[in-house]
Amino acid sequence: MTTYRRWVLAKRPEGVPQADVFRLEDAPLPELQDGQALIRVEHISVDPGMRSRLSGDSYAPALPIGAPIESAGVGTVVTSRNAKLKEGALVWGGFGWQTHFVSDGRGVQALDPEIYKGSIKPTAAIGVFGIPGLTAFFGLFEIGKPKEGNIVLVSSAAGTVGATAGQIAKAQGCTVIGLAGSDVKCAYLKEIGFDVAINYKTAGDLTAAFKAAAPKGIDIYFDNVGGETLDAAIVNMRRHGRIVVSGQISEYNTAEKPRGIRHTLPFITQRLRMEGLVVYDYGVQFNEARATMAAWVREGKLSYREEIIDGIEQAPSAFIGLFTGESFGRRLVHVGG
Amino acid sequence: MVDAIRKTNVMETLMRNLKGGEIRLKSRPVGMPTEDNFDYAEGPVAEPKDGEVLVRNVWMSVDPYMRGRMVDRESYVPPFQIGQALQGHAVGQVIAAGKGAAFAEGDYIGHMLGWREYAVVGPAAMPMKVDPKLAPVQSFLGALGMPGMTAYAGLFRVGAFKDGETVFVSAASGAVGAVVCQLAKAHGAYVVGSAGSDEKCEWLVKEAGIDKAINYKKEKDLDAAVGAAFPRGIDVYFENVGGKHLEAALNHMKLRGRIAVCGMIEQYNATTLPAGPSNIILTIPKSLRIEGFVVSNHYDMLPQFYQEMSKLIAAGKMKWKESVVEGLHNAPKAFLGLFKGENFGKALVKIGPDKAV
Repeated sequence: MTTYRRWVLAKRPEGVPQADVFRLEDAPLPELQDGQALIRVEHISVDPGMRSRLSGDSYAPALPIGAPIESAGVGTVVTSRNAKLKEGALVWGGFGWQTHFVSDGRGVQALDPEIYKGSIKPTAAIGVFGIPGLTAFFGLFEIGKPKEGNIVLVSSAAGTVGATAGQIAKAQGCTVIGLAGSDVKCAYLKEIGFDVAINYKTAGDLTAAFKAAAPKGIDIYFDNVGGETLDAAIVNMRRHGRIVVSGQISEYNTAEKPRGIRHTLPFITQRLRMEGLVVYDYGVQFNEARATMAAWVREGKLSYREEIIDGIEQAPSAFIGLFTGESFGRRLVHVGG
Repeated sequence: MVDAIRKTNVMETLMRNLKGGEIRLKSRPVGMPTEDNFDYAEGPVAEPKDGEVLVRNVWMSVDPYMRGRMVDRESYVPPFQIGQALQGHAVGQVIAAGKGAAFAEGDYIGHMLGWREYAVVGPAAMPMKVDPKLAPVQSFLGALGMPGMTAYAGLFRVGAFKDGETVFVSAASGAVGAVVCQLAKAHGAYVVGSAGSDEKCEWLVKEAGIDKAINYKKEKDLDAAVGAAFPRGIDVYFENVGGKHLEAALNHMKLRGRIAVCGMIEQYNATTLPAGPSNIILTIPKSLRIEGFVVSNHYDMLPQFYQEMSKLIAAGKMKWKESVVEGLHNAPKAFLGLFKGENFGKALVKIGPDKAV
């Protein structure tokens, strides 16, 4: 095999990305140099946060036109001239939407066999134990600071970040309210232990819905959505409430100026703290957090859902579907292996 | 003994005949308050009971936060009631002390029963002795009082300011802002303040010693002005204004910047919600912290605050402006002036003689 397949950025999207933003191409596999290893990519992720990098005018450095689409991935080392990457080892890293990845070892980590055994599959490395799960873990503990009896609201609660954050909060003795976009997802939230599940598409006025679900107010809002939902949460926050800003999917595709928020006075009257999370700040604690979460998974306190779509050809449609609310759980694309 | 009895009798007679004026809330304002929302009334002055003191108020403070208390809703302090005297910080002199009171006749104390000439002050009014030797007594309503303490707690605790960082302060020449500016300067910060007149801006640079001042009323593009003043970005934004100031600050915050939300004066009288900040999403890539606070949660810092302020005052490194209105009758006017940007420095009302005993 001398070529591999990859998705590159063909042009910059406006609003919700269309399929022609991406281009599938074949590229020659470079010969391995000393210190390099060839990884066969098995699963890749599609992430809403990646949307901002496709645009040129975003806060994050833009992905150049023609560059491979970036994403997390899991795979197997097939050939290695790097002592740290053993042939046959399962690894994860930022492999991108491609069938193969040549690594010099940086940013690539072998999967700990103590964690990935039994019912826990390697795909969990880019899901519940990857950036989404770690975002939930550190966002909740470091910014949310849950205390027993707190009322916690989670948006995009059926997604990996939201479902993980909600279940961890529940395990800390909190009352947990989840927001999701379908009755099926709401039923799932109840199944995994959420106290209340609100279907935001049918709930009508969200401010009133939050008030009804939490008459005494919300202590922690774990925000994955931004916009109007964030505003509705802000006016329902309790004194000294904490808002964890993990994601704002409603703002990613706005071709116009983003909406932002309207309600700012409650920050003073209720002494609110709102904080954006850079999960990599907690990098040194990642392994410990993974071990803790793996124990919860084995004890049945933490469950997760994966939605695996087959074939690298499907990556763009899998990604675009994230913004229509059709995805349910951690959305991954099976590339091969 | 006889003297003491005579003195007590004199005091009782005096108090029986004593009448005092007060300003009451007549109606709840919608949007910008007007003088029609206030009433002046006079009535007999009550005697101090055990543990209380009778105070002749000398100075009272008007503060933007009082606007919130005029609305019948839960705010950080309970709402004012219609037909009752307003409340707020005041400094006065004790003219009579009840049995077991913590203060003696002649003491100057700060307390929460402003908007009236005479106040019967018990523990609920949070009285605190002030030292006229440290600074003029009205300073305890400004730089050495609640506004100064707000500046201190907001900068150091909520803003988590560290020596040498870059600091942006809105309403920078105000009672809170001016103290924030000078505390930050004293700790090696690069400080930029915004204010609403050239006179205020000049004072900020020449007297308060900050690095740059922005006259936001003259800037067509506040965002560009803030960006130009902070080529390396903002570590701490001390927010007193809200609206466009917040949006501009968000755009120029550094990674891991902190926004201490102390006030949003632009919005206190708004009857419709303002648009934005539209760029609140920047909290994620910049890992920002936005935190609102109220000074009453931070009075444990009072000893450090006094220590630092005495040092800076003695060294001539802490200056402030006062905007004085004479007479209790004019207190509503002084309050309304807060929202017009008319005041320069701490807005005060002189409502009694310097010495009452």
